[in-house]
Amino acid sequence: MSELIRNVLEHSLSPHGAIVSAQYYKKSNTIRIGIADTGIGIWKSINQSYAPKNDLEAIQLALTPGITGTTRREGGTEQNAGAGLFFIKSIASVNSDFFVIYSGKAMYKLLKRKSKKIALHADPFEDRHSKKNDLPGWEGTVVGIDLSLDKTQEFSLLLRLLNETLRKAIKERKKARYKKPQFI
Amino acid sequence: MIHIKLSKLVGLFAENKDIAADIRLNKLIPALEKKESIILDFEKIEGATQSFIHALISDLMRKYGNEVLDKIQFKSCNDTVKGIIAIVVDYMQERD
Repeated sequence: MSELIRNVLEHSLSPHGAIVSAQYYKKSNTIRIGIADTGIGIWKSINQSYAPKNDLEAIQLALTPGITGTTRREGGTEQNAGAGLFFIKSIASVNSDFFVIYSGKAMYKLLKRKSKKIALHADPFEDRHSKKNDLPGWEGTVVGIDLSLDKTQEFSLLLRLLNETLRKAIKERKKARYKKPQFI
Repeated sequence: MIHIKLSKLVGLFAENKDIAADIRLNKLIPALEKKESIILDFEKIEGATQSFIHALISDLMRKYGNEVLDKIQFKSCNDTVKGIIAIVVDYMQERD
């Protein structure tokens, strides 16, 4: 919750802050959280350091660990690692909970895991998901997450998976940047 | 050596990045400049966000290199806090 709200304050540049709502549902033992802002949206935020072609690609980048609109530098800035949204999506992913993010004309929704095997992916498009890139525009960002308290996985498992996925993502980006001399 | 009891500054849940930055700028960097070692004491702290730990130590690792970890000891961390610190320390070293 704290990470989500900080995201709004730091990246949305919203003149009106954000609307945050949370409710506990006793029957399902679930906390459902929604945050909506009317800021610059994910595309503009990410576009400060990357060049996403559209809102959906911007969402994909925003959910990728280590990617932040504030810098292209690996490891982020002193205040921002680009891991906040990835952590939040990962909590939902590990627990097979609902997670959705909507910005501009795009929406990404994490779908429940089908397999019992728990795995996190740096690329959100490798998770079971649905996506759209032609929705009515929302000039800002909306995030929704459900947290089922009954089936919360061991936090240590989540931390281990987060660590492995982050390290792998950084390694792969490093590899992609690695240049070889051009012999002609 | 300086000993910083974080619960007095951040409460039981360490999530405020502004306080983390303040500690880094006003306590940790001056101590490191004087070649002092540091104990970051997490006693009573029940949890921490990755953002908080990142704001506290990532820039130190960038400025002083990974060797700065020889100067910093993390005291009385529960398993959750240990896990979060390990994540930040790992990805900051991995980026090199």
